[in-house]
Amino acid sequence: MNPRWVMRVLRILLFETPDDPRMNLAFEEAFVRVRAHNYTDDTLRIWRNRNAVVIGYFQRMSEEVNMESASEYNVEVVRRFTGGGAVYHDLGNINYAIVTSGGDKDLTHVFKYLINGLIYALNKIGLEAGLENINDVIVGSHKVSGTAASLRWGVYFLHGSILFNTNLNLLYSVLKVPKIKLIDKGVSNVKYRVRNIVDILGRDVRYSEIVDALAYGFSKLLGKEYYFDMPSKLEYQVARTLYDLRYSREEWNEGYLRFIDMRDVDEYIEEILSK
Amino acid sequence: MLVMSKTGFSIYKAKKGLIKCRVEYDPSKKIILKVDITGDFFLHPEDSLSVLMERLKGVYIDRDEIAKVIKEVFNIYKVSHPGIEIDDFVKVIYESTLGDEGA
Repeated sequence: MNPRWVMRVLRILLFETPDDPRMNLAFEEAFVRVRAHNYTDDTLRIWRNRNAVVIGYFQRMSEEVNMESASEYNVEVVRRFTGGGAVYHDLGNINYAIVTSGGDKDLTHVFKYLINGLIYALNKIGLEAGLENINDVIVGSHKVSGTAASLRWGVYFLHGSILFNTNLNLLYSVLKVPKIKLIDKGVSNVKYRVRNIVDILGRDVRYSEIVDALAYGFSKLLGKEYYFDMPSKLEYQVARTLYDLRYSREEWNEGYLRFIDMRDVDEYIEEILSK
Repeated sequence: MLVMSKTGFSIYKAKKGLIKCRVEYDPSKKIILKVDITGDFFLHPEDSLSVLMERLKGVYIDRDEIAKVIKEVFNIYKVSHPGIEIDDFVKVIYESTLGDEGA
């Protein structure tokens, strides 16, 4: 397959597998790697999990997740390929992921630049949002979105979650928050900071309103018209392979395997992408 | 010969991210045997951390020696580490060798 001509448009995917968080994360890696090979346009993906904890690349499941609580509430735990902290996902939380062509900028720049798409989106739904401490998006004194970025595979990538109507009690129950982090913030428990957008706005917010706002925000940032699309066969194929070889493996999700230990997987994926 | 090893743990809150470090070391020779670093920080390229943990094996337990290895790995791999300083890593690794595992 020859790489297609990449146009100055923003592709939007709403592909999600809410009941299979591990497939959701396999697809997250797949669509970035397919974009890195120039088979697709710059792409914004919007997706949800029904009941999951997603931990950061450098984290360990046992250190971040209250496993008793996760088991009691059937919360599935999966690890992503980007750094940063653990997050709880339910259908009141919308995830966005943007991949664009790369360059020679560093991670801080990628955060600073791409996060503006989210800020424009939040402005669009009536929120005065700002950036704090490199990668937190705040409204007033509350964090409404945490983000993570990567320069892997030579592209610029940023993803994050927007709390619009999440079950915060379950979030507090399944995530372990180290005391040192709370002491540092001068507060005594985790409820200090995160807040749902519906509570800030004082009105209902529909999924479709957030999708439209994200499409508007990232299209404005990149200066590109957008269109909605379906995943390509290649994206499905890579996602399926990554699911089998990486995201369904306990050693990966528990945090004991790193990319350097899985070179064979990456070589195999690159082989698929180079055909 | 039997090596008497100890394992220590330390945790450090950097500007952006929490670094958790577990170090297995030989207290008589003051040598690092194994390092395990986890946390919610960001590094690029990510695999430089695995290289760093490998390179720290056999290093003499001394802040300057540890810093030298970190600087070397970060230079070779042109590591970007937003919100975390090299000294943060030095601190958490060194402090892990000051006592027994505490977490």
